[in-house]
Amino acid sequence: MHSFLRYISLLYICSMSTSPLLKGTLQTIILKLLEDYEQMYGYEITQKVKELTAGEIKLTEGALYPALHKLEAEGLLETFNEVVDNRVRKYYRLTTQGGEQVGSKLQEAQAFIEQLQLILNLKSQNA
Amino acid sequence: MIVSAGQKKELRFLLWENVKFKETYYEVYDHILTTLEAYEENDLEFDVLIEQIINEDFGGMEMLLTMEEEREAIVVKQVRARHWHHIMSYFRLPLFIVTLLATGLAFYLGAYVSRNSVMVMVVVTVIVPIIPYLSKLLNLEYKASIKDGVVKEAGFRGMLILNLVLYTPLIFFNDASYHFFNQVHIALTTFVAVLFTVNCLSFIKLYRDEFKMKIA
Repeated sequence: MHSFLRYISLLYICSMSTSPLLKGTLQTIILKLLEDYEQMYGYEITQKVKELTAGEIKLTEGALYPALHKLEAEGLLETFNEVVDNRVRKYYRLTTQGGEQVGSKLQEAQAFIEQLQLILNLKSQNA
Repeated sequence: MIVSAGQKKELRFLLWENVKFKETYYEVYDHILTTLEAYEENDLEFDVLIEQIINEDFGGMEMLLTMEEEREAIVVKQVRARHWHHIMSYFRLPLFIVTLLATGLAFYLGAYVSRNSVMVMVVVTVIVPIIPYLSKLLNLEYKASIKDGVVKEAGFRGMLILNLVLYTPLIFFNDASYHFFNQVHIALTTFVAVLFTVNCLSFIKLYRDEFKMKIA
């Protein structure tokens, strides 16, 4: 997980671009995190991404929650509620279908990153 | 920072007044509180802090509403598709047997018992989907979820169609004493009764599927 997010983080920094670039990989990031950590809530996801990328990527909740809701509607995630400190906390976890798709989504993202690197010649610049 | 009971109440009130759905209310409330709890103690006013979090994390209160609209559109599409899937399942085996039995029953009632008994069958299957919402309609303290809205719409659809069935023929027959269930061909009353029965049964399945909440 670290390497994938560092990769994204590197692209993010190199391209000097923020949301449009990250937006395309947001669903993959969420799926991968939920594969690794089983169940998470929205705030926890943003904090985990921040932690794994040493603060380089900050997911905005305005982008995160719609992505989570879309994945839920597509049947890749399911939710359940837990009462924590007298308040309802909504957790997300992968469905069986979601679990099956993580691998292909990751491969898709890796292939895209490699192609992007070829086009932008990022490898030689960073070598 | 430690958030006091009064501040929590203030936050709940603000969200209750500004968001439409329960899902957003709970999720944003938990998010803001968790964010606040991670903050160091500071001198900023509580409402300033809340506004700051809503603006920085969600892009402002307007974006919260946009987020709700987008989510509603997704859920509406999803729930309608599921309802339609349940309806169609009554025209495929094995549930097609239930449809055939309902058809046989409606025809038998209409032909050999009384037309009114078909009417009773229809009214029962129209009212059943409304029952889960009767208490919620009277409860002003209840904040609806997105699914509540769209499933309620599915529940009340039967009532709308029944009214159309009862009153539309009057326009064409121009007869105040016309009564659909007593005067049309028995095949048509059977068709209508089966339609409502299938709608009712598929609604029950939809409701059961959509509201199987797990609260740990």
